[in-house]
Amino acid sequence: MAQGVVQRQISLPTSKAVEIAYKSIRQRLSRSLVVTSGIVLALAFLMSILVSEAVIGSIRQWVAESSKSPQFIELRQKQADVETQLADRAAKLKAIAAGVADLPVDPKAFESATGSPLDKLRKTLGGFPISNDDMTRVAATDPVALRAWTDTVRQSLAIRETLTVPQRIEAQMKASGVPSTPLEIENNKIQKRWLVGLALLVAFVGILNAMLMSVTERFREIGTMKCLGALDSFIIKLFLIESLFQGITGTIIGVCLGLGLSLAASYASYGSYTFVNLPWGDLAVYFGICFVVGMGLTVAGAVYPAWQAARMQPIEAMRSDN
Amino acid sequence: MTTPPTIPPTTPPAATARPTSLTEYTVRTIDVKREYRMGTEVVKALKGVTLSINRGEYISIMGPSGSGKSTLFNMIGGLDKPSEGKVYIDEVDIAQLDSYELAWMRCRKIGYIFQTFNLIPVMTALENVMLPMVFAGLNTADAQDKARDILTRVELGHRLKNKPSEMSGGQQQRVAIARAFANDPAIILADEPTGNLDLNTGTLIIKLLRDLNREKGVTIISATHDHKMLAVSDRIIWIRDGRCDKIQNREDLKIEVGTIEGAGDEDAH
Repeated sequence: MAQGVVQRQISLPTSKAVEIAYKSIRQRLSRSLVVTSGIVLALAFLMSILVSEAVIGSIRQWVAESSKSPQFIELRQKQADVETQLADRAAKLKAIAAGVADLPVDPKAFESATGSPLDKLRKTLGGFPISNDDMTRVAATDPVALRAWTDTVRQSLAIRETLTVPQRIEAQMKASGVPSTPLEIENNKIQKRWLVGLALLVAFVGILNAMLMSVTERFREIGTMKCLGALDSFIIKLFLIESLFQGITGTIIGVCLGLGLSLAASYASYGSYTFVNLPWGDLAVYFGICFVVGMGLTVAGAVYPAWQAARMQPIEAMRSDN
Repeated sequence: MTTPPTIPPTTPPAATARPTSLTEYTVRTIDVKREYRMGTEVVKALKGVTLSINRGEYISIMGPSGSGKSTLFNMIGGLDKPSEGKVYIDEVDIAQLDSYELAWMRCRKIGYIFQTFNLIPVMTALENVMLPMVFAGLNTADAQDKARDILTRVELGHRLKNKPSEMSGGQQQRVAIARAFANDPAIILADEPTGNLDLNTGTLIIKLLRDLNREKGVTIISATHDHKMLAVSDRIIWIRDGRCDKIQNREDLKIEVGTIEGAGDEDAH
């Protein structure tokens, strides 16, 4: 029986502290929202920097190793074959054209054979091996050979497109100012760390300020609770839990926001190549780091105010006049 | 103009007769002194007060501002420790208690009533009365039942779910009284309980306190300016200039309309 009472004397007050903390936040909702949004922003900043660094790093790594990857080697092989085939088919077109050099040019023949106007197709494929008129004659004479040639050209262009992706990404990165040399990367990192540190400091000050305000406003409430038999530990729990509520909410929202925003920004620049080498394990670790930072920040901001509150004497609950 | 309802004097219970054993005293002070350091000056709030309060008594401590009345009140209530001298609450020297024991004492032995009601604003009346029971380790169901009973006794059974902001001053003070009685304390400490209430409400509160005092045999000690309190008190302790000026029994008081003999220069209230 005594055991139960002792346990209740520990567990009941804690659940009561949670209750009172939650209600206190609801009563001062606007202030809590300001504090929470400060935490959200700081942690979103931290997470987005970590994530974007990871993404850029992973893309850079992929670019560097792309030439050695089996897909690229295979593709280059295929490219060689396609180029050979292209040369053959172009030669065949020339041969056909030479054979029908006297044929009158039928302007509609080309479009009906290939499905698109001559000038447009010339632009898309990057040029014809023979003159426009010859092309029209071939279209009228042997549309199959013409189409075989156009398909091969398209194939060749597609392969070239894929093979040049790494260079294009590298060029894009350089153009948009992404640091590439080790020195640039290092400097950029240090800069970013400073900024993040500042943001976290601002969030910390926000929490500290809000909790101190809370304690000062509630001096009577705290004194009264001590008169009712609350231990100092209960008062500390009260303020720590109140701060943790805001911290947990802010951290979760901030981390998700940071992750989402930086992935979206990467996607906008580099498309689906964002995910080509994405280190999901590292991202999970960053999730954990940000969570710890968020919690640490929150607790650190609440320690001094909670200690102040616990130190308060019950006398404070009495009238202060007289 | 209607005259405020007067509280008819009742015959004092036998407890206020000279006690035969020490355990009859709930509070004893022996030459209690209290000094405050304000910068380089030393302010002597109490200069040696010795008194004994019997079980079940209704005591009023009266005195002008700055007389040391509040300081003495805080001593008796276990809210402050004396610089010199001893304070015994139920024969326990409070200076020897550590913070846990003090918290236990405040939870179980003493109930507090404040001038500013001091209810927790985010909690309903029922939850406010349940709070000291939670600190005492009572489980939630029992605490709820007991709180409901007490609140019904003070005639607030229909206001259990209201928050303090939704209640009048008199109702808030009744919740505070219910809360003070939550753990069946031996002593009730009331600091100007009618200070923030109008005449009629104040009279009702005083009557409620008097009734509970008689019902439960709880010692009630109040620091007050309110002369309506004098009519129900068993003894009145006058404090002046850090010392106990005199102690009067109710029979010795001559209460005339408007003035009370022995009041001396008081703040007009």
